[in-house]
Amino acid sequence: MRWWLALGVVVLAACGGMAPGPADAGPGFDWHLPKGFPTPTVPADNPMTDEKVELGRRLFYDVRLSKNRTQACASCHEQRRAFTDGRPVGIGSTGEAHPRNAQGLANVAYVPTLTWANPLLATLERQALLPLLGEHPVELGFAGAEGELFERLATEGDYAERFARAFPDEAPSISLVTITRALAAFQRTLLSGNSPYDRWVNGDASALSDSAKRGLELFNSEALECYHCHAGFNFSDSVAHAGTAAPETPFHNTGLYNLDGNGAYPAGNAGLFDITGRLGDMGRFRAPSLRNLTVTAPYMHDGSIATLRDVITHYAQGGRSKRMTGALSPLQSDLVRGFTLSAQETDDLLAFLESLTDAEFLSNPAFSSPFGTGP
Amino acid sequence: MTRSLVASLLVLAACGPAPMTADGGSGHAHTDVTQLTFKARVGTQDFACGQTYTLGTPPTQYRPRDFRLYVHDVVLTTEEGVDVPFTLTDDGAFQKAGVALLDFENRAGECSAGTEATNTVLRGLAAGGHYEKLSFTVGVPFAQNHQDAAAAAAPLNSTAMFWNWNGGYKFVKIDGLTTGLPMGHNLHLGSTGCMAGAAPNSVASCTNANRPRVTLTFNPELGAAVVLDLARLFEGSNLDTNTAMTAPGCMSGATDPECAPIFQKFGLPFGPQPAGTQSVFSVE
Repeated sequence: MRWWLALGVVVLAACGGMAPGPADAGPGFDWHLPKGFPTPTVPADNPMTDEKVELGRRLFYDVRLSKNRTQACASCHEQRRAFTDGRPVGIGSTGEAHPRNAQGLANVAYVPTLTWANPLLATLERQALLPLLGEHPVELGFAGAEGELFERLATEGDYAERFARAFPDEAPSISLVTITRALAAFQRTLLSGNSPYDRWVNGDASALSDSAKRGLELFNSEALECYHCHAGFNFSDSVAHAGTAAPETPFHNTGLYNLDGNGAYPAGNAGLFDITGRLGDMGRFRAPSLRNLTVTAPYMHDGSIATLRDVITHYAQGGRSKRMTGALSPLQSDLVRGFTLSAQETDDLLAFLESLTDAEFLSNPAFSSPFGTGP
Repeated sequence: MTRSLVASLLVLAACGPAPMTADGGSGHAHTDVTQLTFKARVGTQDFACGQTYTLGTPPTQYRPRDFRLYVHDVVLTTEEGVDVPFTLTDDGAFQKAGVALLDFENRAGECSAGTEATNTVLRGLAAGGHYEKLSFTVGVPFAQNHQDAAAAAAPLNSTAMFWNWNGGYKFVKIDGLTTGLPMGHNLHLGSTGCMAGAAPNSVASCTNANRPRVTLTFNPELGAAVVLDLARLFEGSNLDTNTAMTAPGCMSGATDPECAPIFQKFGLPFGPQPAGTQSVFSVE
């Protein structure tokens, strides 16, 4: 039967640009799902297997994945920082600055549109082509040189054997298809759901301080409106899983910039607008998950806010641009209108946000470098 | 694997234009048209990687880094006005399913990220006829443009032509280093303003298709060749400067000022600038 499945995939890919729909994970795959978490969506042509995940983990941490052998995926996605890099914006293997802040990968399996604002990237497999092949900016630098990557993986280390085991039905077993599938499989295992907040949700009344509990109430209040965009188990309204019929793919303008009074964001970094070209999409970005927020500074799509306290100030002021221009951006979300917090309330909100950090996730050996020391 | 490969060949063939029986000029002694030659020029000079050209307005020094483009829907038109498709031969490298990659770079000089192989001749078939026009479209057809590039067959497997952040391919990639932009001036033409479809990774439509349709007076029996002239393409473009916070050169950004003169040369509309007649391609 298997080649019929492969045929179906080829047909869809060739004619319609349509990807296969979601399916269950591979038989027998153990997700180690955090309590209360739904099963992630997995493309039908890339079922989860332990072999793929382990291969993907090696690729993720291997500097062979950059043309000049200086960077791995992990260079900008460090586990101890919830797979961010601590910089305002990512720096590629040739030193070029990315316009965007490197995003965390915790629970990325549930994200229906990848990167900060791109509705055209719905799977991690497709997204992986950007860092591998992107030219503007250069990240890993393999545009036009993927053959060199295949050659490395075929001749160095034990990759030939690992690819053959992970992709027994693919020929050649080392290709863009299999590399991106393995990377995606590994990233889908990066589940974070054992923070103090989760333990409190699951019945441990002592897991949250009184301050954090007050902060949670503020977070969920109509005064602050945080929960609309940072909703649900992953604290993002952009979420999908195996039980989602049709994922919603919302993007929001939080009033970070309003350069011309009409809502303009800096050219070349204007969120959804850069893809769709629709003026109303100016400054609209996907709401990132708030999990492990305390280790992912600096914040926002361009890393332009240094601390969590300053992020709260941005929202309290009804958007940073309102403070700078005196007026709300006409493109700004109607949920970002500003609020007043006492010093104690700000501390309470911070205490709640800090309770979303999952120490186990940040040190889980299954997500760490297989080469001993990470790059 | 063999079976799925065969299946994919069939499927891709089915996606392209259906082969048609040419009927241009029956009764005349015309030979079949099997080749269409393209030449890359910079003014009167032949284009080659490793050379330095004087280009742009005002003129600057230009060292090529890349020069490739896709074409499809190649049609010859008889003097009676009958359109006869030039059916591209699948060659496993530069042509497949009605799409061809023209590749003028040979990895020399600054084109080091390119390929040694070049492709400057379209190979295929149109039955002999008294043709007076040649038409083709620059780019990848919509049905193939938004497929999974990682799994695509040649010539749509050229990662240099991938344009994944926009969900498609670069139709044209003409990159070079200039005096004022030593890090590079890049021309990447492709569809923009693309809207996601219902299926994951799919594209429903694109606001700006950006596929120039080129029609030239052309008689294949006179040994005519299509000339693509970079001097004409960059006439009116200042290749030494780039508007801050925009792509270095023109990457088809709908608000990138560097795209306006280039789109005009391709005959494409750009913002308030209406569509016109292309002036990049000519016949010699």
